[in-house]
Amino acid sequence: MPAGEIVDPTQNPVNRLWRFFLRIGIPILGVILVSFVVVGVTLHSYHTTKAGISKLSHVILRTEQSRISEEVVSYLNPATKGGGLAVEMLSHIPSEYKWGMFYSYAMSSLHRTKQAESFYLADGDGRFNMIERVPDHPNQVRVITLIPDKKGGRFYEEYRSDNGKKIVRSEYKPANAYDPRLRAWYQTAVEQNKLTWSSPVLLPTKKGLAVTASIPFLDRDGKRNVFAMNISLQELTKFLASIKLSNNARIIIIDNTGHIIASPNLLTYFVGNEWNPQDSKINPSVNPVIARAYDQFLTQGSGVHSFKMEKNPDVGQVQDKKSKSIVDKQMQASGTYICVTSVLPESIQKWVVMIVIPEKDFSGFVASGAKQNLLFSLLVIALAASMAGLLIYQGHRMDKLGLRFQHIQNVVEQESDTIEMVASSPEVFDPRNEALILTERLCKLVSAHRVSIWHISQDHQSLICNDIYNRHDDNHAGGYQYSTSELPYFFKVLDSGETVTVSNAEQDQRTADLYRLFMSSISTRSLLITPVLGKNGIIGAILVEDTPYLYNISHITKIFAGLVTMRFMAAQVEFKDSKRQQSQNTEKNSSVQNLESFNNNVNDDLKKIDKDVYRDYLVTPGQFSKNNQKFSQYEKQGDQTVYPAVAMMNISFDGFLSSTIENTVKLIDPVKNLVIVLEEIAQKYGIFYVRIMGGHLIAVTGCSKEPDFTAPIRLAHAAIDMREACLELIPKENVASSFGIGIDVGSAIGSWFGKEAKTFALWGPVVGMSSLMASMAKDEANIQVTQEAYETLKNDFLFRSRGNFFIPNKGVIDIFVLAGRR
Amino acid sequence: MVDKILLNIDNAKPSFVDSPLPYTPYNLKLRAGECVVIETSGMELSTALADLCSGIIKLDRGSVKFEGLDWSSLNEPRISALRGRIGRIFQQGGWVDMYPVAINILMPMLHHSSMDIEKLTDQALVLCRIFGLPGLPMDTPRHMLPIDLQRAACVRALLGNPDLLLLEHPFEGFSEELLYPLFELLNTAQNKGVGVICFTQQFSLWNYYSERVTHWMQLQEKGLVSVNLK
Repeated sequence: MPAGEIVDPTQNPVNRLWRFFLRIGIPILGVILVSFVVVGVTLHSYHTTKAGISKLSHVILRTEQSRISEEVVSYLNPATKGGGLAVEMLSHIPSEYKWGMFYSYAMSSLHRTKQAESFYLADGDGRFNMIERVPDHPNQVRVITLIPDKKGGRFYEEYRSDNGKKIVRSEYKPANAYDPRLRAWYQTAVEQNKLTWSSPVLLPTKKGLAVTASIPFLDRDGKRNVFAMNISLQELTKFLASIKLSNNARIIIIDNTGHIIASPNLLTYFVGNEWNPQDSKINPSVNPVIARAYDQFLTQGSGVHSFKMEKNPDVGQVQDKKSKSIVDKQMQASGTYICVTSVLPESIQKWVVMIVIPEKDFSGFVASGAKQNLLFSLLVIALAASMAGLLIYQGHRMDKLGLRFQHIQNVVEQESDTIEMVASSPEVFDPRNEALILTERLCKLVSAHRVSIWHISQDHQSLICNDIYNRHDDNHAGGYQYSTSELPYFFKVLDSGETVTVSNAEQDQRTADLYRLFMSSISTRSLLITPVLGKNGIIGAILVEDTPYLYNISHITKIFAGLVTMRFMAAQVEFKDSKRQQSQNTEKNSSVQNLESFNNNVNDDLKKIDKDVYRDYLVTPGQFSKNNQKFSQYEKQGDQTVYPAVAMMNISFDGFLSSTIENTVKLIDPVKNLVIVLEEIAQKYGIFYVRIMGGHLIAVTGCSKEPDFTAPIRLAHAAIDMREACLELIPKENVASSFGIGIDVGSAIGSWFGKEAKTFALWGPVVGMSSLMASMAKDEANIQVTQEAYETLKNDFLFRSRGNFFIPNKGVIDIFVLAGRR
Repeated sequence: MVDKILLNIDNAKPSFVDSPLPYTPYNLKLRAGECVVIETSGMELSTALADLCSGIIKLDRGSVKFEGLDWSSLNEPRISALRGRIGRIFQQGGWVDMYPVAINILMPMLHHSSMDIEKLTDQALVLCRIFGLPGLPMDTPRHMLPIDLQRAACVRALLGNPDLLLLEHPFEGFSEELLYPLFELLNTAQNKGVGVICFTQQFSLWNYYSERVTHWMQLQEKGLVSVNLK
């Protein structure tokens, strides 16, 4: 993947959004939906119930209102029907008996009807008679008769028992020119010639109001008379007060001029106050609700009406002291009110019975029910929200589990792929090939820092590293070898045959030595040791360093250990075959030297060249072939010969032998010394050909007719010694120089040039490759070898892989660094 | 994932109208680090096959998945971002003539990544030197020598560490001086897990690289056919 990629195509934003919607959005949407439904149902229920209650309350109020109207009519009957009856009687009897009849009727009525307060009778001649209750003496009546005289007349007052039989006392009082014909009740009745009602007036006792009903009539003599009676509104008020429609209901009777005739609160309004008829008028600033209800009646007529009142802060602030007492505080609240009004019959001057009641009195319980429902709804919403929360949490868990499952699936897939890849690689089971794939694949699979494969020597005294792969550096290495004395505890661990997991190798006694010698160089901590079991016990181990899956990968390392076991077993078989073949070859051809004795008896000896180089040391071609290339074809050319397995070493010096002429002059002596040492080493290992050209030293061995298997080995030994010698000598000469050593093994063509002083020359890929290896190895004065050289030398020397490279005209090859002798 | 299937052409039958390819199902599995060399009879067929791998050609049947993602299931900008992971050498050049070659080289990575232009330029310069260009070419494509333009095409394809390389006849008609650096870089790229699909008209051009070639295939009338050259 390119670095810094702006859009990651593996991440689908739509899926992410959709998953987010599924995991978070749907539960939240669900809660919102539930909330809406619950609130909607609650509101609908509230409104339905409220409408039902309102309807029912209207019916109840109408019924109640009818009853009240009937009661009021009945209450006023003594004036309407009783008055009518009295007038009928008085107009039909002889005039001289009318006063007696009036007396009898009035006495009887006062005795029978509580609401009757007093009766008047006046005629056109100014005669006047009045019978009334005595305040504070409920069992007495006062009969007042106007006796006219020249001094303004007198009132004769008799106090009688209520049955009229006993006179308690009597007295005269000045009438002060009282003329009943000048009174409003008389004049109004005469003017209208029908039953008329006065405005409410304060009773003499000041304990209530009364209204006067006046009926005009003509007596038998044709004289005009007016019969009047005072009806106390106290009883009517008491009656209205006794009706309990609700806590805040008000029942009011209003006359056609807007005066309050009766009201439950009216009883208390006027106690101890000076009476003013205007006080009983409906005052919007004092009683806004009543005034509004009355206005509603005036505009819309009788019936049931609703109206809404806004809170008016000015109410009560502007009232004066007199009106202050009649402020109905219970009727000040804002809200919706129901008003039921009906008009009384004509005979009662179309008085209005008005019931005003706050709607909340009826629907209050609906509101409280709705409040309760709302609480329940909130509870349901809270439950739904908690369920949604659980759903989100569960979804999140499911996502995590899904990812974990995906991860496990990926791991299993990776393991399968890796094992399939390793198992299908033929070099894994071919001990002649370096199976770098084993460490590399295992290391990548378990994401370890480093994985190494080790084998235990046959004497069980040392642990030798076959291959190490470092994932961070992406390179292979080898060459480590530790003895039992260096790693005593570690060998014990291996001998146990158990897979061992160590989280901190430095702290653990079993691995502390290994950490110090091996692991500390790259500072790895954790270690997984998997023994490789052979037929007769432990034959090696796989070490996995710093893997994040330390405790979960033992199964896979055991599989790899099995593969390594097979590889080691194959190597043993190969080694035994090789040994057997070597012994057979030794018996057949004594000229071929074995490995142990090559120092004393070598084919390529520089000393022998002096005698007859051309004839004695150049092999005769045509005896064998290599890589399907028949060497016999070169035979006819005479002067040149193909050597099938030439081992060539090239030491490339930089800044030492290839400096300027002036410097080179100064360097002659040091170079001479170095060349002497290198020649001694060449002689020691029987190197056939050593030449110095420019900045290169070339050493060749193996120029023989048949491949000399000791030749590359001798050359490698010489390379190690020469490297040591160069490392020792070059710094002593105070010369800044770097060098690299390259070795290649392969076929080459050799020939002699010149007539007198013959020069031996070699051509072939081996020349170029050894030179290339040397020039690429200067950084650390390494001995770098080609794949062919490595194949030849790997059983006797230790190597680290440098990697594979594409080399023009050669293709892709593996390159190794010779790390030391085995 | 280690050794994952990088490109999976599964019974993909390209649209007859949109593609000059033989109307037949194609199958190809390319794992990370593998190299497939495909021999075609015509360069336009190579381009069509590379287009098929890049998800440009509409399919009548089957699927083409790159890094596990089906081209047909992706929309912008994911499809462009995924194509940003492919390095390609076009046989027809694929150059924008109005811009210098340097801009042509850098533009894909500038578009797909947030890499600093200086770092990107450094990387491009390294690649230029490997392929034998002294620096980033500042001429427009029509003013470049063909060999230098092909070098620049290699630089453009390899810049930004792509996951898949589609190389349409990268060095046919050019000398070996282009061949070796390309092989060297292909080898490095394969070692890092890059999948390579090379189109050629002649397998022998790849002889030097044959060890790293995983599959040899030929485009025939019946589709992609494996050829055993080893």
